[in-house]
Amino acid sequence: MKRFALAGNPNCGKTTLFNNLTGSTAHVGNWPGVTVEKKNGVYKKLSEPISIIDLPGIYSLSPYTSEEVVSRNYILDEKPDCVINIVDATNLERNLYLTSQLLEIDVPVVVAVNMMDVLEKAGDKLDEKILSDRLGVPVVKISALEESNLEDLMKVAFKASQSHRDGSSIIYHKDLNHLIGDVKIAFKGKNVENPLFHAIKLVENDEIETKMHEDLLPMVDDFKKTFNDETFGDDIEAIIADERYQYISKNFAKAITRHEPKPDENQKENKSDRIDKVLTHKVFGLLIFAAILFLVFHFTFSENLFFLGGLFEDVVPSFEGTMYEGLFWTDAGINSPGVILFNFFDMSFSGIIEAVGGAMESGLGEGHWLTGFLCDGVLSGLFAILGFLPQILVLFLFFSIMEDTGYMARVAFILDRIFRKFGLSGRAFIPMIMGFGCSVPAMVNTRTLADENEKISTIRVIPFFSCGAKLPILVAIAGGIAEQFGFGNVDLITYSMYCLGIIVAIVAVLFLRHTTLKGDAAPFIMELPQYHWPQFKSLMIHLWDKAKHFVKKAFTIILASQIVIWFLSSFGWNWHMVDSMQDSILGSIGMLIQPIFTPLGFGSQLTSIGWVFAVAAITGLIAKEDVIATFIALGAAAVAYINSGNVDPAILEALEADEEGVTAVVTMIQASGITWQGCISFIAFNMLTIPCFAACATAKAELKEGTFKWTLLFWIVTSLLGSTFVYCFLSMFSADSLAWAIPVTLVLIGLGVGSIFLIRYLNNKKVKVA
Amino acid sequence: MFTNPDTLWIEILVVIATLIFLSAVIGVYIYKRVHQLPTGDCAYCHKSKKQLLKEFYKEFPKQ
Repeated sequence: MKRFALAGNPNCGKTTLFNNLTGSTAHVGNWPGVTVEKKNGVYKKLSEPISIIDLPGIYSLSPYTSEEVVSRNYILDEKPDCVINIVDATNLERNLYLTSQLLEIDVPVVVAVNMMDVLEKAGDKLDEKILSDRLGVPVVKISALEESNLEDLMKVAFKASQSHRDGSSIIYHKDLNHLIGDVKIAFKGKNVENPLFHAIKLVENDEIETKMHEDLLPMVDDFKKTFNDETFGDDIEAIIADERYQYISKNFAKAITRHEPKPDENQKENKSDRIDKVLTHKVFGLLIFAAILFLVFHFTFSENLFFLGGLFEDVVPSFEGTMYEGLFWTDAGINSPGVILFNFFDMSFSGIIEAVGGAMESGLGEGHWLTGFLCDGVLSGLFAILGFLPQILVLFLFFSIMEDTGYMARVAFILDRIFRKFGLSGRAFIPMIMGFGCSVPAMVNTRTLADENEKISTIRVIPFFSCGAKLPILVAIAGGIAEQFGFGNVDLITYSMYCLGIIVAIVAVLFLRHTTLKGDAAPFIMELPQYHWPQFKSLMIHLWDKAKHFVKKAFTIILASQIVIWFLSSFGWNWHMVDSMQDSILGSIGMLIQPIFTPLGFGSQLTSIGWVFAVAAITGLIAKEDVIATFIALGAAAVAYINSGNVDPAILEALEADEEGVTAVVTMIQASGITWQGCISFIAFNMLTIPCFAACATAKAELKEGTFKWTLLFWIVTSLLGSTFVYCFLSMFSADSLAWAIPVTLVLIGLGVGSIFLIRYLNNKKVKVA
Repeated sequence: MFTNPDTLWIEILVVIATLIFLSAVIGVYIYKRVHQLPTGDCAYCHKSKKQLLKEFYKEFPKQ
């Protein structure tokens, strides 16, 4: 099967083209650096199937970044039958720099000029014949987004792949050309493939070439001794780069006919510039970002949309008296789209569980262990976790829209100003914001950070950016707090918790960058993409990817955890079923570890059933969704304890009628006697503690040897100290705990400040000794 | 448990099915660990990133 490689600059539309050619669902984003590995797919519309390889976006074939190494190695070593070089029509000159390097390789090249729709909309025209004549390879105009001319492109590429092509250069510097020619002959003598490319790279003093062909280095070094350029001295790499750009600007300007602006249009900025003036404003930019983020949370989690609750005080809930009561609105207000979807799934699942439970009880008899196992141990937890899926998808739909329109790239730009003060560049913000989706790809993205200390700091704080898996914890506990303690809106609590994660990340970075991981922030250069409307297909790809991962996880690891938790909470050490959860294996383990969490507000100060919080915190290490799944699995078992008279009988009724996460949390709050401060500390602990196994494995792979163990320690210490501080600080707002909370909080602040000064002092001392 | 002869076969069936499911999940996990394959939620991402890193470190060995 023939193989065509897609190569081009970051954010020029390679992945969109790849998806449209192969019908794949690879992640597409409107910011540079989305593709960090090569992907394979098959194009089937030609006489024979063609394997398409989507290479990471690169600016050159010099080994400055891992993406450049991967792309270069693929083209040189794997020898594709054709390279389709995608260039952005709106940034032609910069994109052709890479083209000039690809042309030096002995491989058929076809240039696909993408984003023609944007170029034509601006009134500009491109003559592909001029471009093709100057480059010496076929040129096809396309629009990957609108899927126009893609079949022509593949036909041209197929035709090009049927003949051999020798590399060609656009370097016309007389002396350098002479040297390149000599080195090329030497490479040919050594039977090296692609001699022109290797020769130019060796002359450029390319890191890989100089390592691989040390024997040819004296040839270049001798030349350098007699060579001196007026502007660049003996920096041959700079001279060659200049040569390329000079050739491109001289020869390709004719290919584009720019739209003649009317006199009054001269001063006008384009639409993107005008939007940027507001969205990237020094002050308003940040406020707009905070407002947008709040709106996203409001539309996803609010049970009081647009805060119209007051108008609904005497209104009858929607679908009153049915299983879907309160689906669209309640007396608290209108539900947001996220809550409507959540309610729909949750109410449907509750109906299924009730029906299954009823059928099993009539068949097997009341109180049969199988009913408890299937309804409480398997279905409740599984359905409760699946019930969160619509809300997660709504949240990620908003995030995907922000990403696809190009706004996220602006957010990185806005935050660069702030992050720089803390010792990180805006570049570090990109992996952090990816952490809102999943920590694994976010940690991998830190490879783009050149400074090792900046990379370690970023990896350590990525788990603080609440990922999708932590969402059920936030929603259920926030729902429990709102219901039990009468705290305003769930969306406000959830939004605050996301902000808490960001604040802790900033404080942690500040601490790390001024103590153990010192260093200056690297300059942040990022091309801001044009704003465009998000593509429906691309949004659906994002959501499908998220849903697939979530459902797969629910039916494997979470279901398995549920079964194990049910078993451990139903059996004692003598392998007999126990009447009370307190006597179970899980109960005894929970009570053993419970004191560890006392300073955090959910330890020994709770009632004897309070160990459930300790167990939930630990099961969350397997998968974060397990925290709420644990509550749900143990919720029904807690009924026995509730019957002892510690809990409002109304809650017992609610628990029996409805198996949603919030009710289970409310049950636990009532049964354990935990305070709202303890609940928030519990969320904080789960936000800050060691991430799931997959994220830990990725962190270990990404960090240099010997660093991972300190990273684990950092997570443990941060989660314990952070949650303790949150608990003590919030306890100052309660009259019952004011007396001890003030001195303890002050001592914690004092210890924090003291330790920073101590580490700084020790570091300075070390430098002086050195 | 296992006291009612009428429901005994269902109970045994559920226990066997549960054990098979748990063994499969744990077995797949152990297999992946032994063969150093990616495990967890983002196994695909992890797998591809690991390959990328391998290629990168081949060119630029870890210090």
